[in-house]
Amino acid sequence: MQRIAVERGTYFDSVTLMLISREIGAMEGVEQVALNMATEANLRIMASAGFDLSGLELGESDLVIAVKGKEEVLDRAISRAKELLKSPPGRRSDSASYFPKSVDGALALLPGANLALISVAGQYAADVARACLDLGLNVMLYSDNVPLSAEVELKRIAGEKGLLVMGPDCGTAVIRGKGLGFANAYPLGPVGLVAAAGTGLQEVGVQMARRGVGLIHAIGTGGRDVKEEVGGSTFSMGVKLLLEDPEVEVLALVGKPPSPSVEGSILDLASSSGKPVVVGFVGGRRREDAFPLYFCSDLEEVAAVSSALAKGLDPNEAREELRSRREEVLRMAQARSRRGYLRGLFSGGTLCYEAQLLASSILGPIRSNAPLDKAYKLADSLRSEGHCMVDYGEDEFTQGRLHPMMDSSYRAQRLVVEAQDPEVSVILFDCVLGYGAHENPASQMAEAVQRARGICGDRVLFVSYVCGLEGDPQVASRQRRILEEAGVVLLESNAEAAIFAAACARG
Amino acid sequence: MDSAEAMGPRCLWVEGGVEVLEELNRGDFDLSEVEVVYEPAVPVGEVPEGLSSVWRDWLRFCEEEGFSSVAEALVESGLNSLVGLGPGLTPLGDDVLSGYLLGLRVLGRVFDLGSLDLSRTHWLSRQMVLDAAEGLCWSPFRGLISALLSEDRASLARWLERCAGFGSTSGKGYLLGMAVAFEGMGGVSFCRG
Amino acid sequence: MEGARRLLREGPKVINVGVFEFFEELRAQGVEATHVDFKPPSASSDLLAKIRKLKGKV
Repeated sequence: MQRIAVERGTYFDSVTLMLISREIGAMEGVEQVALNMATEANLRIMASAGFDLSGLELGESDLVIAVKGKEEVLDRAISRAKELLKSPPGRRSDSASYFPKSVDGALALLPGANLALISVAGQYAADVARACLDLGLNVMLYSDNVPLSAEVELKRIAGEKGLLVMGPDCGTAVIRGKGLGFANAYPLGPVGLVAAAGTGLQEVGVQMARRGVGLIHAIGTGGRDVKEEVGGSTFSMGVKLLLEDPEVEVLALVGKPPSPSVEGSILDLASSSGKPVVVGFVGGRRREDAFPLYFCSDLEEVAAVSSALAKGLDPNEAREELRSRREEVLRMAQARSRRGYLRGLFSGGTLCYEAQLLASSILGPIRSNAPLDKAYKLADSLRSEGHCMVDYGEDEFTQGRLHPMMDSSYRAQRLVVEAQDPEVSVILFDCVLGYGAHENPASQMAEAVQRARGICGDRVLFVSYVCGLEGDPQVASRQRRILEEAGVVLLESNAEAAIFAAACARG
Repeated sequence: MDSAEAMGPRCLWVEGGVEVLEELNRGDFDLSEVEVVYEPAVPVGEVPEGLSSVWRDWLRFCEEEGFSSVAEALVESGLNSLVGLGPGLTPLGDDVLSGYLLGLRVLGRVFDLGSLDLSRTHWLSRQMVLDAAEGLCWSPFRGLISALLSEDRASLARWLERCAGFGSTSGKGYLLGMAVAFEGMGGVSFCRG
Repeated sequence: MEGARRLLREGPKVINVGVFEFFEELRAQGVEATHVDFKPPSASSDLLAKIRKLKGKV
């Protein structure tokens, strides 16, 4: 199978094109790739290599991207090639930039450095992190697949040195309003976050910004930090730091429920000052507020309560507003209701998790590759069953591929497949924006929605939520418009989208 | 040329106007009376150990595209094998050699040029090697060395940008050679087999 | 916790090791940052080892 794409009126030198085709050629499922300017000679070469370029009108300033391989990777290979053309791998050498080859060398040139952001492959990451801690640097470990024992050791050493280790598997953090890894353009404000969940952090930040409230720091800990073996080491340090920080007026804690002993010690710590702390261990048991702690069930509620506290307003009024808004969402759903299966396709793990929580109270148990209850784990992540939601950030989808926040093409292909299932009536997906994310995730999904509608007409309702802000590189309003024009129904939060979608599918 | 930054090793930047040119043409030019703004000879001094991690990184250029044959020649056959080695206006081997000689010069060490067979390279590149041995170089490298000796890290980072981007690989070759000299590898054999 | 406090007080000044795009995103936000061209130690070439061994040879 082959796929051809043409970029008109452009020029790339052969070194750049070669570097890019090398990278595409290394993608799993790609058998052959060629990137060439459409000169006569190049076209002849491509034809003899077996590419069918007939019917294409090509001129010398057109770039031909040709890929051969397994059907399911071709679209991605093309879109990856296009991305690389925008920031070519070889560009560094002709932009005359010097990059140190060691952390020591980097620190010698930037002696004021205070953080190492590490995203190398998991098997090397711990050693790099250790070297950085020894140099007195705080560490953000984006890398995953770091052994548990290594994490425990790193955090023990960091504790002794008074340094933060954010991660492993920490994709998002904010320090003094600057985004590290995946992050949105949150306004600066008096709220501090500690988050064991990446898109959980993002959703709270976005929902607070919608309410006119900003944040100053969001300390990511990685998902495993709050488990028994790691003991909430980074989470606790984060809570301590933000409780004592005069720039933080309200503290919010976000993540899936910690191990019971860890949760206990975190809550004890959180109660130790008079500063209000909003606790959002989503999916945990519902608790009554007990000053200074406010307990919330979902991410939007965390944001609503934190925002109210930051503005000096009554958090219970904010909760009441949320309740009535959600009743309105349920009424809206009645108008679009159509009984059938709900399929969710997510790039954000916490968003998928929260959506399952909310949808299951309406539809009953939801299947997933990352289910709330192990009994409902999908046998095959690529084959949906009944009501289900798929987290495309899980390992089986990211081996040898870009993370779904960086590239939704795999997820988009699945959308078209789901729409063709005659028992499916609602498809739900997230659209996460921000630094580090794909430059136009809405288009990737909108294209798929349009292809799907060509096949299934109006039988399937497409529902989405854009987790992003105007200040993000993708510009939230533009992304929303693209989805709306494709006929997607947009809601104002991940929670609302899940509730709406589930209510529609209930019929 | 519009600034000292663009200058090569055999230039002096002198403040003055047309009269200077006239004096030059007449042969009346007296250097001792003139204020020289730019003077290309490298300063001499101790390279600070605290910055050793910076130049050690330059050794890793040997792993980059186009460097392996030159680096192998240096390791297997010594300095003389670098002369004229590699393609380009200034062959990469000459760049590495020049960087090495310049580095030695900074350390205040003398090198016996007689041990090198410079006829193996063309005149422009030969001149570059000879200049380097005398401590003359392009101004970005002079800036780099000044910053290194004075431990001015911010300037060092800026000059490194310029030097590493010099030519397509020339600058990196120069830096690799300098790093070899700074690492106390002054004993590198200059003629072996 | 002084090292951690310093980070929060000063804002991030980052050494990026790994994905180049993260470095670019940092620079786009005006964050002081440098990028390390990371190579795994095992991939360190024989050649580099030999170059390093030149030290002190006559």
